[in-house]
Amino acid sequence: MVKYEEYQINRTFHALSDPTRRKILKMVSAKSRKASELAQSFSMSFPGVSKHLKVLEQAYLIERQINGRVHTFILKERAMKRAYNWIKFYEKFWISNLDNLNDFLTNKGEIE
Amino acid sequence: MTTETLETSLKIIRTFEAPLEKVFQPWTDPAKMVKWMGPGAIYCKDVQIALKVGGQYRIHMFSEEDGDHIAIGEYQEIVPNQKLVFTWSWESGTVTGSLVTIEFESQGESTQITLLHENFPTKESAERHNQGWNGCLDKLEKFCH
Repeated sequence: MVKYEEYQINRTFHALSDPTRRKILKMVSAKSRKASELAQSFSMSFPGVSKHLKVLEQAYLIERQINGRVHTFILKERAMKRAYNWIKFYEKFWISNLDNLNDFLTNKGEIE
Repeated sequence: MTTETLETSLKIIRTFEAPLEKVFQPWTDPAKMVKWMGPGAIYCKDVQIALKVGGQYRIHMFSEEDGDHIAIGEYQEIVPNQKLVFTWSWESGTVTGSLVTIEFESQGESTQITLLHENFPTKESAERHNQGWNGCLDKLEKFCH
């Protein structure tokens, strides 16, 4: 087991924890989206969706590309992979620990 | 790009062929925890537990390959034979920790454990998100415009 470095990971998870932001990410992962398109999809005010986009940007989950007045968002895969790796790491960690606990509990020497 | 990465927490449900108290004790008794904690080639060298809300724990694990893995945290909720909630972080790490919730349910001679590991630093921040806090703020904002 390699020690897992958790750089930026809290910000990633905070960004992922909101259902609207998860929907935005799903849309952006399918193809790049304009800010106006996203606001329309959620029938949300522009400042409302803008807040979510900023959180996702600060977590390096999406990247903003500015062309004149048009803002387009694309997915940044590295942060997503990091979140996925966090889950996978702890899944292996706890499954293995619970296996050990099971051995401990069923070992005749341990049960009084 | 797949979307399985959108999960923010991990949940494991598992049944043990042992009664409730026997399954709960190894989580709170350092002398017992030291015998099972530590996945794979990693074994537990030492466990210190201050079992009370706000109390700290320190689990010193070790492997020949990577050296020390020391987990530390604080208990947020303790209900004997029922529930444990504690923060979890690595002593050498630089970021805020995560939150582990373990629930124990008796099924006669066997016991079911539900383990939830969320990447939130406290119970409050986890609950705030689960209550759809952000959803409420969005609705409120729409109303104000």
